[in-house]
Amino acid sequence: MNTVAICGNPNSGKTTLFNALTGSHQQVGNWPGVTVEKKVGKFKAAEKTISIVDLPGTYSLTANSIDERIARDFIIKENPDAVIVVVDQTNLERNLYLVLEILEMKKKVVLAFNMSDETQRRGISINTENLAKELGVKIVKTSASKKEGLNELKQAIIQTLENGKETQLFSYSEKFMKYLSQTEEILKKHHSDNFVDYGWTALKILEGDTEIKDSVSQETMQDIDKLTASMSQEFKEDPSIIVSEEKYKFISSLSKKYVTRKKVNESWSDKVDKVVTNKWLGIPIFLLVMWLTFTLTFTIGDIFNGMLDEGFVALGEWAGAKLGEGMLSSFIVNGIIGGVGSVVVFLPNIFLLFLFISFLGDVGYMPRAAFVMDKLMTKIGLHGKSFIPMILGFGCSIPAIMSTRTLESKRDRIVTILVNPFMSCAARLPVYTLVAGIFFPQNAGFVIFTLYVLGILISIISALIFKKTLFKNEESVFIMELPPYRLPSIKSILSEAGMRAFMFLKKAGTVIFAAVIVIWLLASLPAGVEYAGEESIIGIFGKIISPIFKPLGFGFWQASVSLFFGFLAKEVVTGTMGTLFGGEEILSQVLPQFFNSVSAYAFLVFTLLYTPCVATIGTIKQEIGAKWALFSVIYSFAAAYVVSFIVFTIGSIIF
Amino acid sequence: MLVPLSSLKIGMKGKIQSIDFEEQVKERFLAMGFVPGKDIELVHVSPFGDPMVFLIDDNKIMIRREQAGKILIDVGFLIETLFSIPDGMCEVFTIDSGMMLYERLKSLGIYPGITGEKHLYKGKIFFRTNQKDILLGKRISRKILCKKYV
Repeated sequence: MNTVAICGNPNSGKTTLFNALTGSHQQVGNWPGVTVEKKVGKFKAAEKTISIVDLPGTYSLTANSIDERIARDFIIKENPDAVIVVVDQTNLERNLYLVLEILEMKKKVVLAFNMSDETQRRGISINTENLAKELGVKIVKTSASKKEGLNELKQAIIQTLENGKETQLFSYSEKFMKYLSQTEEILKKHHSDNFVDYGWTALKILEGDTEIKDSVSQETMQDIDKLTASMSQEFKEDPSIIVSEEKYKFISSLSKKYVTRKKVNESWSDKVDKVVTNKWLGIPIFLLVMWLTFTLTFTIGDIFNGMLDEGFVALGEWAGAKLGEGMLSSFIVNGIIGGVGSVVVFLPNIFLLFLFISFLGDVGYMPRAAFVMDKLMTKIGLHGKSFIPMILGFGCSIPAIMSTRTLESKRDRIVTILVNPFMSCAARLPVYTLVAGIFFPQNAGFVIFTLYVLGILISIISALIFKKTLFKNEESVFIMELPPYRLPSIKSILSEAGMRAFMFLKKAGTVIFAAVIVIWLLASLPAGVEYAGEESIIGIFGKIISPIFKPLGFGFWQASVSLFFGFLAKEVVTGTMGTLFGGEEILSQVLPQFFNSVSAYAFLVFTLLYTPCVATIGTIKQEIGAKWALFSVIYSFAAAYVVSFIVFTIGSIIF
Repeated sequence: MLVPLSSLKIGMKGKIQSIDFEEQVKERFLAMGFVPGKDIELVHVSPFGDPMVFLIDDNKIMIRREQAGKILIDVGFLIETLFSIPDGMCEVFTIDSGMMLYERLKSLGIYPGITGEKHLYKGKIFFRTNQKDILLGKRISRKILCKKYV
């Protein structure tokens, strides 16, 4: 079976085209070693089945971002039979840069000239026939969103696979070609038969490609270094810059020959941008969009949450009745149905949230939001794009952490993820309501509000600490395109949200399932004890660890066990307390025997800040690796301990 | 006249002259279209003053002010301070100062893009715009940069 790769600039419509070509025949995985998604699909043309790999969207193949390395390694090492380059015609010059780089890799290439309708609307016309002749490739005009040009594209792929030719090196300026051919001569002299293509190798060496440089002898490099030194002197630039400038010169000569632009009136996209980025309106609009996303996600989601929750409760009761009393029954009812159920009920929220996020992403609002918030967020050690995950964190940390994928820089992404769990998620609210209701009946609302504010403060302080310590010298450069607004396709939004929801379910079925079993075992063993009672392993464990919490004002085993169960999901803290103190109804009488108002508040602060729930930790591990997940566990526990200690100590002095 | 991109006000244009970054960052800027010789225009500034959005070949690219300061563009004319420019008509290019002075001058009717007539009266500098004579001190008139076409 033939394999073709599809690549292109971000926002060129590459993924839409890939989806249109493959339909539902797709597999989603990760590229080895990194958490960048790899999609592989299949399509049929002329009775042949062709496998197609979706490469990450990139602007070039030279710089060192993960995406570019993946795309480049795939083309060089996996050697696909042909490469489809998706070109956004409204942006021809910049897109041609990538085309040139791939053509120079001696690949059989088909160009999909996408966004045909948008191009027409903007008064741009391109003489694709002559351009195709000059580049020596087939060009097919497509409109991925309207599914136009797909059959022509498939045909062109088949024809190119059968009798496509590799391209010759392009002609650059005479001044530059002189150095290029001299480099070629040096290579030929020293390595008479190592390279298939001396011209390309010479170009790559001048470009400063380390991989290629390493493949030639030191002697050769010495000769070439002398040559590049005099080239740099003549051009007054670094060699790599000379090469890219030569490429741009060549591209602009192409564009002069084949592109004509009619002057058009300001587009509606520009008009929208003037409002959305306006000095006075920008921030209110941003806040409105965030508020809508947040409220809709949780109001609509809660309807379904309730239904799912009732469903799981009913399922548990039904299973309990069927299985009777016993180990197995307890395992299934308390462990599996209760534990996995408490996570799966968030599924509607996750689906809705990603529905809105992909809608905002596809429309093109996300870069505008980053634009509006960047300054404020960099002040506190984050990034313009961190704002959305932080807001989402008030709902649930899991989708919030997953939404950090929009951040390109690894540093920004790690910091955003690490501070995210301090935003008080919805699951912590039942604990606050219960405890604050008992100890601060007059101003429970205000007490809960202070907890939310404290969470925000701790996340800001943590971000600043991380910025100053972990990532001290890393400057994050922010360069991003504001693509024109586009009407999104409902199908693509639904399938994106559906995929995220499915991935969440898959995780609930693996990581969370395993954690649930371990905790259930600890709560039920040794055999015959009351579930999560004083004699169970977890009860004994609670007694051992409870002295740790003495300085915080709640050094009794029931508090330790509740917190330990809160590790499963934070709202479980209330349920556990109910069980341990003999029923949720009598907590208001029992709790004041254990807590005073200061230690109760310290307990709430600890609940707010301590180790994220197991599902969140699983998500952190999946997104940035086990090392950072472990760091998050330790850091948040330490932060919770220190802050609660301060609260309890100072509170005890004052009150 | 070469000025850094960060000194532009919305609507101002020029030709990219040079970009001064370490190699990897430079590659990224080149790939996004910041190529010497290209026309560039400042189209949006964030409500907080940073980042900025520039238009290159119909593409809107957002960068931070810090990086914009390392990109020089040729605005196609010479710039002199209002203090040193000869008497006569001239166009204000930018105010080389912070927000405070910028807003103060704006409330007087002096802001980038406005044309007026500079004249001296008894050794004092006046800028006449909208049929109004505005008296400017030497210090302030050195902060007002005006276009001088070549």
